[in-house]
Amino acid sequence: MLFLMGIGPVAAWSQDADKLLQQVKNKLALVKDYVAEGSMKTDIPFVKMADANVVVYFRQPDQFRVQRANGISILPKGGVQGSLHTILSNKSFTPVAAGNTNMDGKYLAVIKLLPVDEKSEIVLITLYVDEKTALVWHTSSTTRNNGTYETKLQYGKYASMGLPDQVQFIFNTTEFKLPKAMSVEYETGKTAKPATAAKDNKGRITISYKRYTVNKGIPNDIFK
Amino acid sequence: MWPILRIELFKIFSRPRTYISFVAITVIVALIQLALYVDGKNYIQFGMQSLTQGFDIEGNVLNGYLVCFIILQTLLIHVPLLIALVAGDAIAGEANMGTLRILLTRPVGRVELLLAKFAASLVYTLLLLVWMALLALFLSLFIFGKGDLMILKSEEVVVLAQNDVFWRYGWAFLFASLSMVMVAALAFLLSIFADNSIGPIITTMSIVILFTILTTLDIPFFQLLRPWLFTTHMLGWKAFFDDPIPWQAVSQSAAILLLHILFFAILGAWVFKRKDILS
Repeated sequence: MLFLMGIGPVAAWSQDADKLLQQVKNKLALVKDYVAEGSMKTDIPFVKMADANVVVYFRQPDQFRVQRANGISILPKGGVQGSLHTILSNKSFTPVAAGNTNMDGKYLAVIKLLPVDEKSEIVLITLYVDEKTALVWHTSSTTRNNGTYETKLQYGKYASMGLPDQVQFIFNTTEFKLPKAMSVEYETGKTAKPATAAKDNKGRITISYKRYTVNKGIPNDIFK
Repeated sequence: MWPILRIELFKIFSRPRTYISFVAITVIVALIQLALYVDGKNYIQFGMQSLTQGFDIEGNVLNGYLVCFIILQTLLIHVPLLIALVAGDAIAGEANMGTLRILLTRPVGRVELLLAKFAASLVYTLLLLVWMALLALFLSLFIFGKGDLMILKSEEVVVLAQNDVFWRYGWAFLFASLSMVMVAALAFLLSIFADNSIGPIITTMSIVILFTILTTLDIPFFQLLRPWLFTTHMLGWKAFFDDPIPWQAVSQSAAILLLHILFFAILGAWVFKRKDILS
């Protein structure tokens, strides 16, 4: 009896987590594909790069591409979960409720997602969800080979479809080193690090979306 | 002075060996462009290995701007040899042929003659660089197209937007001209001391090679020497591809190169004025 009393609330939480995750997925399912225009700010400790206009393409289930017109983009390997769709869609997870927390002035439900596939690259995903709107404001993904990534989302006029106005990816970086004999550098006498260097050795890529074109179809060659 | 300069320019450009440099640069640039056109992606992937381990690079990395940068990085170490071929021959060549004494019997001051010869060497040097710029920049842009310029430095990666690159090349070529004029001034000075053009040409190249090795070797002992080597300051053209441009350091390097040019020119004039011309 005591045992049943103990697991009762756990089962209820699990159902809540299932229900909330389904609500999030239902919202995301409204979008089959999108093309979004925006600007990208790259803040990686050893990279000096100006902000640039980008076009972001997404198509269900998990095709995602950030493109700079005639430009170069540097994105963390396997880490640009640019869309919640790419994190959640078509993957099997066991959701576990992990209570609630206050984050950036919002009271959010915490859901831990454990992948069903034991060989999955993702080991654990944590979602921070607003229960009223079923919007995900923060995610944290722990991967097998590429460290831990975080995503912070901000919503605005496209919130009804679960599309953010701003996404910030946060990822771990290591130092970049190239032998000086290879780079044959001009020495200025200063050893200052780049001005944009993050102090916590983390890289940040922020995409601010200006407008979305939703469910209008995307040519296949975009994702090749 | 203009009539003498015209004669000196005529002398330089009527010699077939003058054109060896233009042909050599054309061949080297064309070979680099061909190699990069055929197998550039593998070359770039190899160069970016340390970056692509953790990052996906999207976009046209191998564009005309990067090809030009690779060409300049490769060639600007070797161009001094081509410049020394002409500047090192300016006075020593005349001495070798036995025409220097006859030349000085004409009603022209020694300093005036020296300046005309030096100016002719500078015209040759600048034309060589303009030719190099035409091939390395404009031909590369024509073949490979435009794009952002990504430069890998020892501890950082700089990505410059394509509309922010062209003017930097303007400055870089201007600075490279200053560096090459300095090499021409050195070869010209050494030419005054010799009666055979091979001596100043080889000596100039030996100095440039030795100083370049000391500049590029990443050994702490040599780091103390680096600020005193003109080859360290000759790399200043690369500073224009940094963001922001270290104007103070570049101005300092340009001033040091200018001082070298002035010193070599004044010393050359002083020596030549007092030299007992026997050949």
